[in-house]
Formats: sequence, structure tokens, C-alpha cells
Amino acid sequence: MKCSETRRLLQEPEAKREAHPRYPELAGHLEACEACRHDQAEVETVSVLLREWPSIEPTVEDRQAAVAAMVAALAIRSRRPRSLAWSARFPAWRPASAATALAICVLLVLLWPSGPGADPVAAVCEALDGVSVWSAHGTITPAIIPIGGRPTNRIEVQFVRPDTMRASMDGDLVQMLQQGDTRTWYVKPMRLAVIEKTEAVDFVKLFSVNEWLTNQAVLATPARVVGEEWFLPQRVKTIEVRIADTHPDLARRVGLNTIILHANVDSMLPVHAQAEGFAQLRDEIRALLTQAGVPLDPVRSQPSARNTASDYLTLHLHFGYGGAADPAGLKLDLPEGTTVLDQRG
Amino acid sequence: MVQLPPEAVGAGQNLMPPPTDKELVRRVRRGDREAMGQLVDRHYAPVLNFVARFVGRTESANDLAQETFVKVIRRLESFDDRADLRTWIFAIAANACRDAMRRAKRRPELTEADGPDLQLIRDFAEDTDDAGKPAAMLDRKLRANQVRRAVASLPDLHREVVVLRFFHDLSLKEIAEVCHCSIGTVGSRLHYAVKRLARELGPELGDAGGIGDEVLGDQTAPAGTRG
Repeated sequence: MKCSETRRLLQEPEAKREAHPRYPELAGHLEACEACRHDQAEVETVSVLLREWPSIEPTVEDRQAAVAAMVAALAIRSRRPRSLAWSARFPAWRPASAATALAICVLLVLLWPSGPGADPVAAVCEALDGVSVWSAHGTITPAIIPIGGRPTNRIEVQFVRPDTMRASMDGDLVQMLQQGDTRTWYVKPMRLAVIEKTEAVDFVKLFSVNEWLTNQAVLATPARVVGEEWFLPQRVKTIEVRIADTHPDLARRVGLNTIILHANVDSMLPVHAQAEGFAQLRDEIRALLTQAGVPLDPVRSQPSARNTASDYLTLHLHFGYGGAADPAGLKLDLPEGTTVLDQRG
Repeated sequence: MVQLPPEAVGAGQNLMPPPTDKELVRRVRRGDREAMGQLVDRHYAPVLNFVARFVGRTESANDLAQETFVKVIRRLESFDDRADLRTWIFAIAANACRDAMRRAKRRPELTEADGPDLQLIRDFAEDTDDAGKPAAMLDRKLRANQVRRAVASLPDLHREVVVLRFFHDLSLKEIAEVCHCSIGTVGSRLHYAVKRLARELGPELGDAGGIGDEVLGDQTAPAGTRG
């Protein structure tokens, strides 16, 4: 028996090893070969050491949830005619399309000038002047007043090479969180007005988590609970929902990959929803800002070689309703050589 | 004589031998909910533990395990009855894990393996069951954490084969099916992963009064003695 054969046999689980036709030769080879004995010792050591990692025992609820998800998936599959033409499926797009349209409306509302003296678009531009603006992430805020909390709007900006960037904040720095390469700053609230006509939109229905989750024809199930975090003063559950694999064209068409819902744990109403890869929405926003007279640089594609998470710093700016406008509250000091991906003019 | 699971004997109501995987698959295809329950009872725990160890996140393991079973039901029509159901489910779970890890790389978060042992100590302090043997329990938890970290530090491809081989006793052929690679590749990945784990865990846990030294003995591989 060769050493290579011995090593291969040693790698098999014990039961399979013993059932192998050449197993009787193994003992003889091991007796004669010190190197293979060493390999055997290593495999046994690792096998024993790994037992220190205890197993997880799923709960009854976990199993029940799995069965329920399977039943739901089976029901959907049996409901959907396989030969249905793509055009016939169009009605199933409606909820996601409506959400896209709603997202645009909400952002428009949040950024549109309202009331005398208030110019939220200009305020945002001023605050973000000199830094990059819209990343590939669009962020929308349904106008739902969370229980005991303050609705927030989130705008994301990205910079290249966080290790060479220094950010200094003036004004009230409320909170800073750091997770991996993503740093989140919660800064002094700014005034962003809500136009009254948005009240005609049934946000609760459109953004009800249950609506999203039960709309399994379009959205992938099960939704994944990514985590929970304190979004003071409320606890927020982060739920990731994706367009179902069965609708690749839809995902491509709306440029939407993932929807992240941040839902209040108690009420399960969304605090805000975040859509990843929302390229189309981003373009719409740029168009709207241009119409509003906000000068924008042409979109520049991100350098693909650097397009990894570790190369970017993502800054989330959280704006709340009703606070005093303070565009000077944020100043970013970018050192020479820092590349700004998409800078507003 | 057929060996029945204790719960079946204890219940005294179902003395039939448990259905085979093939029977379960046939019934699940017909939409039999009870069969789905049996399928989940049989395979959920292994899948849950596999994804938890492969991805390295206990908190999202249930989501991934659930996702796996939804994919199982969606793809069951294409399952070849001659194939091994467990291996097939593991292959689906492994794909789900790879997707999850790709997503996580786009949006990096702290993994359990990055967490400090302080959390363990905090958990330990809150765990009243540990009051009897505090030092031993803490030591056990720390060891488990060391093992978890060592496995988490392996490259994805190596971690996958280690988990399938050592925690689920899959043969090299079965692992090759799950990983969509050759048996030789599995052997090679396993070889390097075992070397690394033995190097990292053997001395560390041995120093702490563990079993590494007893089993492994001399850590120096004898050179030039291959046949």
C-alpha cells in the first residue's frame, strides 16, 4: 500500500475506512511508516479536538417554521403555471414596482423645498458639498411615526480608501458605531419637511412587513432576519428580503437586489426600508435634483479593481424630522489623494 | 429486528419502522405535510449545525437552514431517487452558505469568531447552571471558542470539507459531490486543513491541560520517511 493511498484512507470516516477493501493492509503500512503514523495522529487529534465545539439543537419552533416555509413554497409552486408567459406575470411585479415608485416619491418629498424659508435640497447639498453623494444605495423612509420614536431618513455616501481618510465632525455627534469597515455616524438632526399630499399614500399597507413577506410571488422566501439593533429609543429588527430567483428579469429591470427592512420589533412596522443596488432610483433622484436646479457631476463608474467592501468607507447620515437645520454640522476633511467617487458639483 | 427510535417506542402508537428517505421524498412530492415534518425532523439539525459551522454565525444559522429546506422543496422534482438525500441536502445548504458569505463580504459585519472571550465570561457569569463548577465550565467554553476560531480562520473551501468530514462523517466521495469537485481535491483540502488545525489547536489546547499532546504526541513531522 502506498503512502498516498494510506493518507486517503485515513481521511475517510472510520466506518467507511473499515469497510474499504484495502483496510486490512492499513495496519501493516502504519506499523512500517512513521510519516503515515504521524498523519494518522493528526487526523485523530483534530477529530477529537473538534468535538469541543458543541452542536446546536434546533427548537420545536425552528422545525415548525421550516415546515411552514416548505408548505408555503410548495403552495406557491403549485399555484404558478410553469408555462406562463413573462408578460402574464406582470401583475406580480406590482408590489415591488409600487415600492420603487413610492421610494422615489418619498425621497422627492423629503428633498423637495417646502414652506417659507426652508430649502431642504439646498441644505442637504450644502451639508454634503465636498463629499461624495449618492452611492449605489438608495434609502427611503416611509412616513410612519414609529411608536415613541422619531422617523429617520438615511443618505449614504462612499469614499475610497478609508485608511487614508480622516473625518472630523463639528456639531453634535450623537453616536458613532463601527462594524467592520462600515462606520455609522448619527449627526445633528436637520429639517426635512413632509408635503401634505403624501398622506394620501397608504404607507402602512405598502410598507407593512406582512405585506412584503406574504407577497411571495415576487419576493424570495423566507425573508432573513439579519439582526437586531437599538435605534434609540426603539429596538429595530433588520429583515432582508430579496426578489425571488424566479423573477431575475424583475430584479434586473428595477436594478434592485436586496431590500432591507428595518422594522420596529414591537409593532413590526418599518422604521425605514433600504434597497440595495437601487440604480434606477438613484438615476431618478439625480434627475429630480437636476430639475430642482441642483448641479450634479455626471455619474462616474466606480473603479472596478477597488470595488470591494474593504476599499470603501460608507458614511450613513441620519436626518430626523423637526430638528433645527444645521448644514454646517458636518464637515469632512479629506486628505490629498483621496478619491471621491461621485461628487456633487 | 428493526431498531425503533425511543420516542416511537415510548409513544406506543407507531411501531412501524421509520420511512426511508426515498419514501419520504415520494410523499413530500405529493404534498404530504406529515412527511415534510419527518424530513425536517431527520435532516434539520445536521443542516443547522453545518451552516452554523460553515458560515460561522449561529444567529443566522436558522435562517439559512430554513432557506435550505425551502430550496429542497422547490427542487425536489429534480432530485434523482438513486442519489443520497442527505448529500443532496448538504449540497443545497452549502450553496446557500456560499451565497450568504458572498453577501456578507459585500456588507461586512463582525462574526462570532471576531468576538472577544469577554462575551463568554459575561455569558458564564449569567449562567447559573455553571455555579457548581465554575472553572471547568469556563475552561470548556473557552476551548470551544478556540476550536470555533481555528475552524473559522480556515479558508472557506477548507472549512467546508472539515465541517462535512469531522462533524457529519461524510465520505470523501460525498464531500466531493457537495463541493462540486474531485475526490482528490477534497483529499488535498482536507490534508492542509488538518495540518493547520493540528498546528493551531494541538499545542494551544494541550497547554491548557487538553488532549492535544496526548493524541498528537510529537508535533514535528518526520521527514523523508514516506514510502
